[in-house]
Parts: sequence; C-alpha cells; structure tokens
Amino acid sequence: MVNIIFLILILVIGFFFPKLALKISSDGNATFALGMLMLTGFLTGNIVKRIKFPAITGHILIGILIGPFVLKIISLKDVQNLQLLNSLALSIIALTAGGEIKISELKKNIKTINSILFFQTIIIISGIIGSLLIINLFYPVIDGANFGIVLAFGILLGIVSTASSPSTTLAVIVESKKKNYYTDLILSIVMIKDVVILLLFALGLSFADTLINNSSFNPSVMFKPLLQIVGAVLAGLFIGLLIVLYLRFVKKNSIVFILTVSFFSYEIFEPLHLHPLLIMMIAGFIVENFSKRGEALLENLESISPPVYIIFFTLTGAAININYLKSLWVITLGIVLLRLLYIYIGTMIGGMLIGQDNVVKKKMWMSFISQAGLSLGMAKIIELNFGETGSKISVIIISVIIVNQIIGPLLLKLFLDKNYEKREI
Amino acid sequence: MKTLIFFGLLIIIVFGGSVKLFSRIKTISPFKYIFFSGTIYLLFGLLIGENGFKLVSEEILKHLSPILHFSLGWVGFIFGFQFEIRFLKRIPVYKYFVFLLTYVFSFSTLFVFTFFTLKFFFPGLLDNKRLLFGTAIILSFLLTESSVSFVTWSSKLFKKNFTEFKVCAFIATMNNLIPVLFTGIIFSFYSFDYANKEIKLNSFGYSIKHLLLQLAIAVFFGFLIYFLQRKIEDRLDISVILFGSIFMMSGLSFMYDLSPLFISMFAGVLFANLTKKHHLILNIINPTEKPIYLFFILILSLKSTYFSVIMLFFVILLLLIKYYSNFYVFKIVNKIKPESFFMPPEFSVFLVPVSSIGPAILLDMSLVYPVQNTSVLTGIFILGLLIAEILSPIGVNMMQKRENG
Repeated sequence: MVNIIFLILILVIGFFFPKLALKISSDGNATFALGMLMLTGFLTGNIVKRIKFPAITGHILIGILIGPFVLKIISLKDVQNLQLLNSLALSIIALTAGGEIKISELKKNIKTINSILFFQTIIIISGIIGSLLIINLFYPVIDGANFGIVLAFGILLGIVSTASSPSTTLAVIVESKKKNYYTDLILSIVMIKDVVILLLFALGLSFADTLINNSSFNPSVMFKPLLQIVGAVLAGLFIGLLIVLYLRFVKKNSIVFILTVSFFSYEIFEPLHLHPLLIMMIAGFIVENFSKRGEALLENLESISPPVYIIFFTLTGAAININYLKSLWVITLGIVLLRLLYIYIGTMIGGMLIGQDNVVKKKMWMSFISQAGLSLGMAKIIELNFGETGSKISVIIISVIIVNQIIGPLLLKLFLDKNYEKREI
Repeated sequence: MKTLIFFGLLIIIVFGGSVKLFSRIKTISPFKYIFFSGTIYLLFGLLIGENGFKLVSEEILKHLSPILHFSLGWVGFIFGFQFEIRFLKRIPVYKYFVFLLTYVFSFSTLFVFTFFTLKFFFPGLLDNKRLLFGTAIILSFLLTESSVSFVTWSSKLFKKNFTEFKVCAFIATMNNLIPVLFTGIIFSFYSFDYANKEIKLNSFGYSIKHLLLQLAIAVFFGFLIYFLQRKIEDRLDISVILFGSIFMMSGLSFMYDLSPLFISMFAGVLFANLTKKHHLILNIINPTEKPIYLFFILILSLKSTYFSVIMLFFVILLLLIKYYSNFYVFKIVNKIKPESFFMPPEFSVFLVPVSSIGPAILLDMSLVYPVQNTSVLTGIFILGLLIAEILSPIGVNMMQKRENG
C-alpha cells in the first residue's frame, strides 16, 4: 500500500512539476525523467513482486505507462537523451552475461546447447515461414504483398523470432537468486544463439532483398551486417583484453574503469553500428575465462545490478510504442502464439535427441520467450533496408517483440520457481 | 594554450625529477598530493579537451549532461549529510569563532584584491562594473574554500598537533558551506537572459520567491527520501532511492534555473537529521566521493577555458593572500586566546588547497551562466587548484623538517 501511495505521489510530481516551471531554460528534463524512472521503477518492481511477478515486468510496465506513448510524462526526446545511460546499463548487463559462460561449463554442456540451438533455429524459422505462407492464402498478412514479399517477411520474422534477450534472461535469473544447471544452460543457449542469429540475419537480409526487390541474389547486402559482426567480435576481444590487463596491473577502482571503458566503447563503436551487446558479452566472456580476478569483478558488477536493471528496463519500457499493438493485435497475437509453439517443439526435440530430462524437454521452452534490444535492432535494420515494405514488416515485428518482452520474464520466472530444486549442481 | 601545455609539461618533468630527488632526501614530493587527490586528471582533461587536441566533442559532453546534473546534486547531498545538528552542537564555540574570523578575513582580503585588480590583469574581459563585482565575489568565494582531504592527508604526516588539525578540518568543512549557500542565493538574484545572452539582476520579490522555492524543493525531497527508505534495510534498494531522488531533484533544479548543489545540500542536511541509518548511507556515499571529484575535474578541464601567463602570476598572488590572511588570523587568535590552545600561524598552509565543492560550484555556475567571465573564472580556478596543491605540500615539508628538528 505504501509503495502504491508513493508511486502515485511521484507520478503526480512528475506530471505537474515540469509543467509548473515558470521558464524552462536549461536541459534538466532528461535528468528529471531518469530520476522518475528509477523511483517509479523501484516502487513498481516492489509492487509486482507481491504478486510473484519478476521486478523487471514492473520496470517495463511503468516505463510504458509514463513513457511518451501513454501518459507522456516522459517525452521521446528525454528517452533519446538518456540513450547513453541506457547503453551504459546494457554494457554492464552484457558484460555480466558474458561472464556467466565458463569454458569448462560450456565443454560439459556443449552437446545439449548445440542440439537445442539447432532445432530451435530450424523449427522456428521454417515454422514461421510455413505458417505465414499458409495464413496468407486465407488472410493477407501484409496488405497488397505478393508471394515474394510474404516469403521475405517470413524469413526475416523467423530469424528475429528465434532470438531471445540475454539481458532480460540474466535480470530474471539474478533477481531469482537461483543458480543451477538449468540457469547455466539457459544463459549459454541464449547468448550463443545471439551470435548465430546475427549471422543468419545477415544472410536473411540478402535473401529478403532478392525477394522484395525482385532482383538476383546480392551478396553485398550481406556484407555490411557481416562486417559489423566481425567488428563487434574484434572490439569485444579488445575490450576484454583491456579489462584483463587492467585487473592484472592496476586492480584499483575497477568498476569506475569498466564504466569509463563502456562509455568510450559506446562513443567509438556506436557510430560504426557495431552491436554493443555482442561487444560487451564477448568482453565479459574473455574477462571471466582469462583473468584470475575476473570472477570477483563480475560478481561485484552483479551485486550492483538492481539499479542498473531499473534504469535499463524502465527505459526499454519507455521506448516501447504501445500504439503498434492497437491496430495489429490480431496478427501479433497469432505470431506470438506460433512462436511459443515452435520454441516448445524446438526445445523438446533438441532435448529429447540428446537424452535430457523432462524439465529441459517439456518446460525449458519458457525461458526463451523474452525479446529486447537485439530483436528491436534487427527490426530497425529491416525498416532501413526495405523502404515502405520494410516499415510494414518492422511494425509487425516490433509489436510481437513488445508482447514477448512482457510475457517472457513472467514465463521465465515461472520456470525458475517450479524447477529449481530438481537438478541443482 | 601554449602556456598551458608548457605548464603541464613542466609539472610532468618536475614530478619525474622530484620523485627521485625527494626519495633520496626522505621527504614527500610536492607533486605527490596532486596524484593522491586526482587533480592530475586536470592535465589529462586539458590535453584531450577543447584546450588541447579536441578529442571530446560537444556531442559527447551533451550526452554526459544527465550524469553531470546528477553529480552536482549528489555532491551537494553528500556535503549536506555531514551536518547533523546533534554533532554541530557538541563543537565548542571557539571553533566557530576561529572559523568565522578566518573566513571573513580571507574572503574580504581576496575580494578587495580581486575587485581592484581584475580589470588590470584582464582588460577587456570585464567591461561592466556589475559583472566585475559578481566575478570578484564568486572568485573570492571559490578561493576561500579549503580542502578537508588535504588537512586529513597532511595530519597523517605529523605526530602531534592533533587538536590543531581538528580545528583546521572543521574550518575547512565550514569554509565549503558558505560558497554553497552563496550559490543558492546568487542563482535567485541573478538569472541568465538567453535571448540577449547576458546576466540580469532579478527583482527582490522574484529573488525571494525563487529562494523559497529552492528551500521548499529541498524540504520536500529531504522528507521524500526519508519516508521512502524508512522501512528498507537493503543497501542497493536505498541507493536506488537516493540516486533516483537526486536525479529528480537535480533535473528539477535545472528546469527552474535553481542550484542543484544548494537544494541537495539542504535535502542532505534534513535527511541527515531525520534518519538513523547513517552508517548504511555512508557506505553508499563514501565510495562515490573520489570518482565524482575526478568526473568534475575532467568535465571542468574538457571545456574551453581562458589561460595566460599573467593569469598564472595573478593566481600565485591570490594564493599568497589566502595564506597570509589565515596566517595573521591565527596570530590574532593566539593573542586573544578564546580557549587554552595555540594555533601555529603556519598551519594556514593546510587551508590553502581548495576542495571538491569548488569545481562543482564552478560547473553549476558555468551551466547556468554560460558567459565569457565563467571561462576566465574557470581558468583562474584550475590554475589555483593545481598550484595550491603543488605549493602547499612544500609548506608541509618545511613544517615537517622543523618538527624533526
């Protein structure tokens, strides 16, 4: 009750105080907005925890509510001005996520990871393509689209649907304070899948280009995204190495150093369109596996994660344009349900063929639903590459991501709550 | 620019030499403190900023503005959190007396000197009398400040004079209070006219309303933080509440052209006197102090600043004035003997370096009053900060030698 009262109070302040300003002459709006997001995110997190929801669902929901598309307490400009902080938060999350993958664990689970990854990818992509083509026979998926465009849409949507969100997955796992065989497996699959998806996406873009523009196969379309992936991997290796050297020779103020590195990494690599998530995940992997002090540093980072998650997920929520859902809810719902089904089938077959237990086969699919930054980034690339058709495809993909980002953490929490005790290391 | 690079190179060369030299004669290097305090980052910022290689663009600085706004509020809050009335009541009256005497004396002498000489040293930059008055007063407030961390650092080098160091630390803390209070007041009385790009004097009524608004926001947030954290014990949850509230407070301050330092300081004072979780809060606050100081130092040095050789000379004069004003006040205090203690006059050297509040005030001012005078003030302050932190350890060395006989 106290949380609700304070939440209302802060919302009232946020709504009226900026409007009462006699003369707004300086740019304090973004700073004020960030404070509001932090406090309301914190309070909403506490409120939803009471009903056994993960805190990040609260953060995302309050972000949507006070963001530029619902109550408009925070403007779109504020959200854009806070992009740097959002990226810093993402860098810390990605670094921690990368640090969760240990080479020794990876070796032990590599067969399971490969099997689940392979079948999820194949089944989701082919399933989505097939379903869309069938639906299109009875109900036009995109107005005025020919077979080529629908097929291109299927390929791109299939690839994007395979992706899961490492940041959301890690946030829910950290919040649940559960670390076991399943959480290690989930994180490994989600993170390796990101790299695979980025490669597939580069290939998919070339196919889509051929189909949408009715031209011959153009490998140059693939070249740029591939170059960005290679660039991100190299940048990640460089940053990882830099942190390893710092931990070895300097040691002091390592968190300040990480923040500085993340800041400069954003300023240098963002204009080159290198994936920040991938860069910092690789850096985290290097730090964890090649530095004696890496584990302690990443544990420290994890221990300061709650404020970081609040900033990141409330901002993610604020950037969600919920209006997309209004006009596209039928197709969105259909695609979301299909994706759930294919993830279930893919995980089950992948687990079954490798002789995994029932938890992996029948329940672990719930951990791969959430989608966030990477998927949104791919939607943006589609929009930029294919003009008006790209925009139509992108809007549908974004609305699917919105729903997945809301239901994903809930399902993951449900999975973690039910299956923790069954196979603990 | 050339002066600055020359000065920077000189410091690096001299530091390199001095470390060797001083290690032989078993005393501390005068350059040790600028490394300890982190002020050395000023040179790094000057090298990569607008005065140097221009590696940091306006765009990057703009991206950093929410963090900068927050940091100003955070420093104010940390500072205000020190002022617990129950502790202030326990401090003997003579300490307040010594503080007031040193403050009034050094501020007045610095003000009189700057007011009458600024125009001579910087002709053309201060064409109007009101501006000259404002610049002189701000500069005097900034340079009257003292660094508590320098007093603490120096005290560890001496085996006795425990009470005297405590008095110095108290004076240094209180010296920082006045400029923060002053910032809040000056923001109420002077505003920046963005259309004509000039500072204008507000009407008395408007200024009082403005001042009351600052206090009202501080009281509101002080209570808000207290009530939000009242039933929470987790350090991270409390830090989210503190950070979120200070982000909001600082953002509001900039929206209304108020001083985030002033408002957060009052909120900090109020919160310190309401809460009982001082230990927990200090655990959150303490690790952030140095990084924030370094951040201020870097931001301050990244921005375009005016430097000249004559400025260097002017700054040395100002620091000497500061040293001698405190020196004579201590002499007077020893004669009056308000309490049975003797304050060695040369202890005034501990009050020469300026604190982390100085850069914060200057940044606060430069954000609200983006005029050329601010750039001159920044130049004087940066040089003052560097030179004070180099010259004062020399004084400490001399005193140490004397103590060792």
